[in-house]
Order: sequence, then C-alpha cells, then structure tokens
Amino acid sequence: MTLIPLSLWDLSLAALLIIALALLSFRMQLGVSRSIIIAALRTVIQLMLIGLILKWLFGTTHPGWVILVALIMLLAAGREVMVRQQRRFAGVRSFALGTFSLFISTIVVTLLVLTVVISADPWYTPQYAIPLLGMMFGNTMNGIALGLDRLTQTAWQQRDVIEARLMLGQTPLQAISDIRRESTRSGMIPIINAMAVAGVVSLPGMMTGQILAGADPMDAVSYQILIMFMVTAGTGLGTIFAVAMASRHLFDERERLRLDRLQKAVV
Amino acid sequence: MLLDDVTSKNYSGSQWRQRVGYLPAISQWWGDGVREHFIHTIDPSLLAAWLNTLALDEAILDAPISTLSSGERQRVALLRLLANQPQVLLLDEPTASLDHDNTLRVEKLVAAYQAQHRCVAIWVSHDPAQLQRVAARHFAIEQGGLRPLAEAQA
Repeated sequence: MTLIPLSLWDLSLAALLIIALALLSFRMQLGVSRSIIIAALRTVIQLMLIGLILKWLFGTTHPGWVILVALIMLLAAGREVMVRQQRRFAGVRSFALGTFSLFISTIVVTLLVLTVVISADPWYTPQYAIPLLGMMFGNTMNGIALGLDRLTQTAWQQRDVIEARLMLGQTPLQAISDIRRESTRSGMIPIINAMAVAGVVSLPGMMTGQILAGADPMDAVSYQILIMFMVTAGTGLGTIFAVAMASRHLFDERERLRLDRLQKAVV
Repeated sequence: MLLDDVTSKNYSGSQWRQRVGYLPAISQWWGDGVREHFIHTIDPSLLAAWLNTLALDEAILDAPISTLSSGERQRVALLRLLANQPQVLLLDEPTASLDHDNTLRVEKLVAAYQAQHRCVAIWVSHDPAQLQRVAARHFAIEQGGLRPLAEAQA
C-alpha cells in the first residue's frame, strides 16, 4: 500500500467545498462567511509552513533544533493555558504556572516513551519526537486550562465558604480540598471520555491519518493506543500538578485566602 | 499579640483560629449534614449536654443543613465553634436570629463554657439588656473608636 499524493488541483477541488459553504452562509446572513474564509486560509498557510519546517527538521539530526521547536510549542501552549482563564493570577505567575505544569508532565512522559517504549535512535529523532510532543502539548494544555479555570472560578464563587472553613481552624489544604478535587477531576474527564469512546464513536485523527497514508491498520492502532496512554497520563499529571500549585498560591503564609492575587481577564 | 504569653507569630493561621474562635453573624455550611462541619472529634456526652442546653434534639446532627431554620443554624454554628475548645471567643451578634428563650439559652451555654475553660469572650450586640447580662465591661463603637461605658452592676 502506498499513499496517493494529493496534487494542488485535488486540494483546489476540496477548497470549493469551503467556498460553497461560505457562499451559503452569506446568503443565509449567518455572519460567519468571513471567518470561514480567513480560518481556511490560516489552515493552509500554517500547515504549509509547519510542513516545510518539519521537512527541513527531519533532514537534520541536531538535537538543538528539535529542542528549539519543542520550546516554541511549549511557550505557545503555555500562553494558551493562560488566556483561557477567566480569573487568572496577576503578573507572570499565571503564565509560569501553566507553562511549568505543561513542561513537567509533557517532558517526563514524552522522554519516557521516546527512550523506553519506542526506543528511537537517537531518542530525539524528530520524526517521532515532534509529533508526539505536539499531541502531548495539545491535550495536556486542555486539561490544565480546564482544571485551573474551574479552580479559580469556584474559589471565587465559594469564597465565603472557604473563609468560614479557615475561620473554624481548618488549614488551607482542608478548606479548599473539595474544590481542588472537583477541579482536578474536571480537567481529566474529557481525556478519560475520549479513551472510553475511541474507535466506537470516534476514529482518532492520528490513526485515520496513518491509515490513509497506507500504514497497516494494526500498526496505526498500536500507535494510537500508545498516544492515548501518553496523553492521558500527561494530562492527568499536568492537571494534578497545576491545580495543586494554584491551590497553594490562593493562600498566603498566614493561611489567609488571597483572591486579590487573581484578576479578571479583559475580554 | 500574645495568647498565653505566646506571640501570635508562633501559631500558624489555622492553629491561631482554633484557639481564638470567631463566630460570624452569618454561618456558612459546605457539607450535607451538620456533623461533618465539626472539624475535631468531640466527646459525645459533652456535645449531648450542649445540645440539651440549647434545647436542640440530637437528631439535628444528622439532619441535612437545608432543613435547618436560621435560628437552628445559628445555634449549631456556635456548637461547632465551641467544639474546637477555643481559649478566646469573638461573638458577632450570636443571638441575632433567636427568640428570647433561645437567646437566654445561648447566653447560659457561653457563660458555662467560659467558666469551665476560663475563656475570654468579646460579645458584639445591639441589645443593651443582653450586654448587661453577659458582659462585665462595656464599650460603644463611636466614630471608629471605642468609648468605655459605665461598668455593669455586680
């Protein structure tokens, strides 16, 4: 089995579908025609660029370039975690918190898989390292963002209860334990659900891509299982870590609730 | 600030708040039942005696919070605070939503607790008659300052 390459002409035909949808939206005055066209153009340009970068990257064997690309992905994901918070910690702490949690969970799991499970030689072989990191960052980012958003929002809404528990002499850890548990759970639920329905309701995108590209379905499935496990472990670790750090930072050294450390996002 | 000759800096926030118990005017509840809001285990016979003093049935400990009246909540909130065995009590209108009989019961319980634990209490109230009953020294808050009032009749 080999891949049937797509020509420019093939993609242009597919683009007609998008143009047809944009025209239909325009006729129905949905107000999204412009967004459809711009988003489609962004897809083309961004993916072409990353394709070029990957093509060049796969040709090199220097670990420095792989690390640089990984770093850019990390910072972009960290920024995304930050901007998704309705109420975030003031200053650089918000960015540092998310990025550090992403870093810890993603790097640990990915390095483990690259060296022990896949045993790529060398371990930083970009063909394996970059796609795995991409999947990891993308999913871990979602878990951390959800968990942190839930934590800060709930703490804000339930500040009277937290204060009352502190007043009764509970430690900060006890006073926020319920909220912390709920927030960590809500960060992990989507990925657990995704594992539960994989193959039944949804065919994961990576697997679909591999099969289209001519890979043996069982090989594609094996990699998909690996990815699912990695992503779930990374998301779980990252969410637990981020929510724990953020919970701690909601209180000061005198065990007072410090919601003044949060600021509302400017929408 | 000193508590038993130990400066407050030597206590963590939570240790300090267990010793200096503050009863806010409005109580907050986070669990389903009353019992889970007691953060320390307390001698059941002592708790039973307290409930008796406040004319509350022991069954209230297992009742859902949502079924309690505001007066019941105020009384149970006092009990969960006393269960910490604080050395100082800061009471912010602890009888605001109680009728006269229950007000007297709360005053009786606090007095008994104070006598038993040699505990200091600062009691905020809008009722001059109540202050005559519960407090030895009286102050009025005026223009952001404290003004001593005449001492209570012994």
